[in-house]
Amino acid sequence: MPLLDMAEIIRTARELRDRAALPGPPYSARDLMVTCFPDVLVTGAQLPTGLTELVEAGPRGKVIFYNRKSHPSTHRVGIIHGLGHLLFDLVGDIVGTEAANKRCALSFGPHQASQPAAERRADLFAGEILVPLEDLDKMITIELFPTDKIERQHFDDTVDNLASKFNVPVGFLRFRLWDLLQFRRSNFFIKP
Amino acid sequence: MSRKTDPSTLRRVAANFARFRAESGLTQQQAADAADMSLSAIFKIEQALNMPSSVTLAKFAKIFRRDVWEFQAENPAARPIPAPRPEPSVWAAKVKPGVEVDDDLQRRVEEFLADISDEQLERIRKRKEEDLRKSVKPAKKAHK
Repeated sequence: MPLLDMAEIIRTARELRDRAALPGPPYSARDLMVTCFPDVLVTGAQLPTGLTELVEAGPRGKVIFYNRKSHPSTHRVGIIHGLGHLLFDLVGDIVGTEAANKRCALSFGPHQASQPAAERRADLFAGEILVPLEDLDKMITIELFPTDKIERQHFDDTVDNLASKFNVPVGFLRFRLWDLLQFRRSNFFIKP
Repeated sequence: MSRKTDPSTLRRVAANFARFRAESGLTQQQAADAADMSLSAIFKIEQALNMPSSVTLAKFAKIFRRDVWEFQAENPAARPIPAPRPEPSVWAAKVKPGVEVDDDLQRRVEEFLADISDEQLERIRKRKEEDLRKSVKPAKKAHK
């Protein structure tokens, strides 16, 4: 996948969730890995400082190391993020990364511009597996990121509840809600 | 009291020494440098003019990646061609916000991966597979 193809990410994530028959939310990262990727070893480790996840592909197979020091909800995100790297970067086609970087910077605004496309793509993949925009779109009926103080308080409470429901870190859920806002604005949303 | 070396042994050591050096891809000068000896000492060994001491042979056994006894062997087997080195692993990592991806971080990741042996990973993999097999319960028989 040479470019940051959101439709392809959504399609792949949906297919994997269906294949693993995940009843979620929360969508089980373990069940997904065991069902769809039994050849990928997932194991915790005391990773070097600053890392949340590390994925390796080579002669000794495919391994995803999550950071054992992190919260379990962060493990889930790290594992699926690593799977995204395995699928799109380490094993598949990585041609066109430069173009993808440019497109990424254009598509997602300055706050994401410094992030390499491969990282952004793996984040989106993890997001689509664990917190599908399809689900969020149905659940979120209130204004996203409101400026009014009371509305903001209510929004933050909703974010906390959803993070608990999807079993992901609050920061990750906010990242997904930001994506939802972008997709709603661009009218880009794929219905099954 | 010095003991005179049998001429045939001397010639065999000389021939094996020259062969092992050539197989290692070293010139006489390079072999001399590796063992911190003079070029003429190497020349004398290979011309069967001088019998190297056991200490010298042990040193060259290490350099030529041979066993010491092979210097005196009649027909030492050719050293097996080393298996081609496997393709190096590729990796990707997610860093925490604000962490700079620099050479130092890359070095630490490489060290981390090198510290985990292939055997260790294989054992973890097998243990997980075993666990997975146990967790798959046989289908229950339907009640009539």
